[in-house]
Amino acid sequence: MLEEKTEADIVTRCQLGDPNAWDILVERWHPKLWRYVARMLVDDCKVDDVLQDIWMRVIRSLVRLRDPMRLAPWMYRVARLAVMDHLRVLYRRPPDTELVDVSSLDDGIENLFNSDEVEVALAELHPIDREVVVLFYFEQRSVAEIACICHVPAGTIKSRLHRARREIRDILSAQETRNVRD
Amino acid sequence: MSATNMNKSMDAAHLLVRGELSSGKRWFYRMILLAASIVLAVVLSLWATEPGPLPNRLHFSFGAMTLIACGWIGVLSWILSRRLCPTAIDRIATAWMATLACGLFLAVALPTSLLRSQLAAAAGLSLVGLMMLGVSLSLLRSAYAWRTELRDRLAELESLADPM
Repeated sequence: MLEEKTEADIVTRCQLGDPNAWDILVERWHPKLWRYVARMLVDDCKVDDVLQDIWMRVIRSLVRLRDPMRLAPWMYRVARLAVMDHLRVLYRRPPDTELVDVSSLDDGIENLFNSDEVEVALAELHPIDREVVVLFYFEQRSVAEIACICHVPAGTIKSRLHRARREIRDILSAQETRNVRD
Repeated sequence: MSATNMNKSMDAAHLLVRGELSSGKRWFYRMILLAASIVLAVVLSLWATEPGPLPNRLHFSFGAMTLIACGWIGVLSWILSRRLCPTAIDRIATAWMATLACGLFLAVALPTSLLRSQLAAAAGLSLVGLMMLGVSLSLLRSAYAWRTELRDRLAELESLADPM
């Protein structure tokens, strides 16, 4: 409750034009948005581009947020729209037009070793299912909040979660079988 | 993704936000809005106060210039109200600039019409100018009302956080 009040305070100060409040907003929300976007996008190189897009959208439209207590779902909705726009462009492109040079990524290999099996399985999920898993398990959002962020009924979120869990289980068991065979 | 990447990303976000909140770009657009409203006033008053009948090509030219000026005013108003209006202060500044632009429109169009002794044109342009001024004044009023609402909300939030 105190955190909500403080966030509402920051939003109102941002809307009034206090630059320090904007700094606090970035300090608080950038890590959360970064985690969300990094989990939603398989290609790590694009995370910063999408984050810049998200912040541009936040700067332009925070002024229209009427209820400052609703900052968290609003932020995730803005982030979701930016991620979906990025994925839409990505999937429209022919698959061979963009090849990521893995050797050019300074932390690519490190990431591969550090990431656990669930994160690998996450990358194989459909983006629609992946976003629900990321918001529910990694960002600790409730079903009602996710429904608000994604603009769908809560029942749809539940069924997406159910489907995603089943798919993750299938992916993990397939990986385990492969590992046993090797 | 490492902590270094995260910090770099955070620095980039801070720079982006500070850059977007700096008012230089918005003042540039507001100045263009003022210039466009003066151009519109000059063109309209000259067009409306021509004493003799004009050839069609001149009507077309005046019409085209009027449309271009109106287009600029429309686009700039949209940019300043929807794209470059992140805070209550910006909204107030833009509303003041719109009021000034409408005032300038009246200040240019009315004397020009009167100097050329065209009372009907002066009345018509004054009516248009006054209508524009009315709209901009209502925008100014709502911008101030919104800032007051935000200040009240902030005071309420602060009193809730610190009841003493």
